[in-house]
Amino acid sequence: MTKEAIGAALLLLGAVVVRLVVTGEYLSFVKQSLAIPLLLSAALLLVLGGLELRASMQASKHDDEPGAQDTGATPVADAFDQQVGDHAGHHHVGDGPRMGILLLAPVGVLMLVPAVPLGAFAADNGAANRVPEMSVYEELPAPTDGAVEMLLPEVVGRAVIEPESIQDTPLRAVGFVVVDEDRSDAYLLSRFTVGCCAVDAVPFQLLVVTGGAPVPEQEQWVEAVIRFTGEVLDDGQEQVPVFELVGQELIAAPEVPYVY
Amino acid sequence: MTKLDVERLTPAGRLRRPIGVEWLAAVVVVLLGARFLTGGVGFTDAAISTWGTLFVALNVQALPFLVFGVTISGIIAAWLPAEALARVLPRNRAGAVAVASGAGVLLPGCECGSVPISGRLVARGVQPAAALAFMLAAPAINPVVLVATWVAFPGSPMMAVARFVASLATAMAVGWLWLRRGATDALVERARARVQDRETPMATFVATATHDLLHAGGYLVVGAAMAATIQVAVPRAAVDVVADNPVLAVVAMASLAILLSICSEADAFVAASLTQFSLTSRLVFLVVGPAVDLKLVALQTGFFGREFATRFAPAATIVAIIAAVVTGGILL
Repeated sequence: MTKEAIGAALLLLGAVVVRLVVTGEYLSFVKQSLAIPLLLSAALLLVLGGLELRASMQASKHDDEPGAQDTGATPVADAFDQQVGDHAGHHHVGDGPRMGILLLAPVGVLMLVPAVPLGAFAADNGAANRVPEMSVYEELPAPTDGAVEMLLPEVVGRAVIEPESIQDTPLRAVGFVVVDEDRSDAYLLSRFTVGCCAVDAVPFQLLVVTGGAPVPEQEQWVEAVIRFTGEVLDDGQEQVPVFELVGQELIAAPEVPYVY
Repeated sequence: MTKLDVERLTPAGRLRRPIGVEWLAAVVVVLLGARFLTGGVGFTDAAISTWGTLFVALNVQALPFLVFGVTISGIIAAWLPAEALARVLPRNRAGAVAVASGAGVLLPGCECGSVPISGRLVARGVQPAAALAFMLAAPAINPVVLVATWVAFPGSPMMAVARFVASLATAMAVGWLWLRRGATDALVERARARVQDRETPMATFVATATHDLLHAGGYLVVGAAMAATIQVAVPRAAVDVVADNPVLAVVAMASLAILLSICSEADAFVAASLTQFSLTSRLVFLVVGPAVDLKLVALQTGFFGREFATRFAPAATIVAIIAAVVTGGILL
């Protein structure tokens, strides 16, 4: 890549990162705690991009002088590109490695594929309900509006490990709908927990038997009031607790789609 | 101050055409065109959209660590002379290997940056075994990498500790191995021939930081694509077969580390995405990667010669796997 191309690419990358953070779209990918590091690194990218562009302008001025050969500093690790390039017939003698053009691939993907959080496909694809065996649960908090607020992964964990702690208690949990193709009277209420970011997301799912209420659309976010039936489906790989629906409200996707 | 540099002419002595702005503009125009033609909504097919989310997530998550890493390695390349390290190393050769390994903690560098730095150390008269130990330790156990590992495994804080221990052990063991058996004369001569003088510290900083960023960033993107593809396209049952067999899992993780060549600041996030694999096999991925991978072998061949690389890579791979498996068995 030439200095101009490197400078332009770094500026573009920095701008895209700023946009991700400012619009809140970054929450589909990583945790909130990464906002400041992302902005700092975007600032560094913009500065580096600016310096590269300035260096390219100075270099082009030098080029006009007689006897000028080198267009500027040569990065140290070009040995790699030379070695590989020389053998593969893929020559590189610019100011930066050709590999660098790939940095624009995530920008391209962001332009073509909507920045949405993981949904039904990933929930079906991943091994669901991996409840940590060491989980310890506290006393249930007091109910508000007739139900106890609880994050969906905790609901699943209690149902699998401490079923008696939620027996007969209406719980209010937020998740998105994954349609169960075999049943028209039930859906899988789902939510992901993430450790570092979307790449290590683990889906948590519970089966909601609607008892006549309509099954919402695939990936519709729902605030559901549910009651544990005591039944846990087990196919040898995944344990899915079964709940009966007390009431449901369709809601907009939460700002933070994952549970940390 | 002297700067390390390499020849930039092809064997024919002719400059080839690098990628220019016009190509960059063409890429952006094509992407915008594709977006326009698909009605601006983008591809919404569930599998593609999931792949996109995973791919972008890994890149976004790793970006700050990558940028901070290359900034620090640029500062070190520009303002901290390799001679400073040469001066603090003890005369005793075995001791020099140990101190050089430990110095990796203080001198963070991208792994591609640490190869030329150790080449420069050798050229300045540092014991080659100590320089090699430094080359293995610097990218693997520096603070940026350890923080990244800690962030990548919030549920297993011992992962960062295990990585530190296993990588430090690998660096020292390979260094000591080289003291006993390594032939180094040709290596020293070659490293000397590679060292040249360069320009101002600021120019070196910008050049080193952007070069490392583009180079490591390119490999990160390839690694992220691979990790997203494993999750979306490879059947879970197939991955489980490999992941559930301890020997297969270790071999698979070591091979993946060597093939993917992801830089050490970002590899913890790829390891975190491989959720079906045991922590110990993922530790193998983290310890082997910064020591041996395709780009490092190519780089080491360039700096130290083919004969060196063909001896060094297998030795470092075996030592790294043993160190990771033993450390993982005890700590994880």
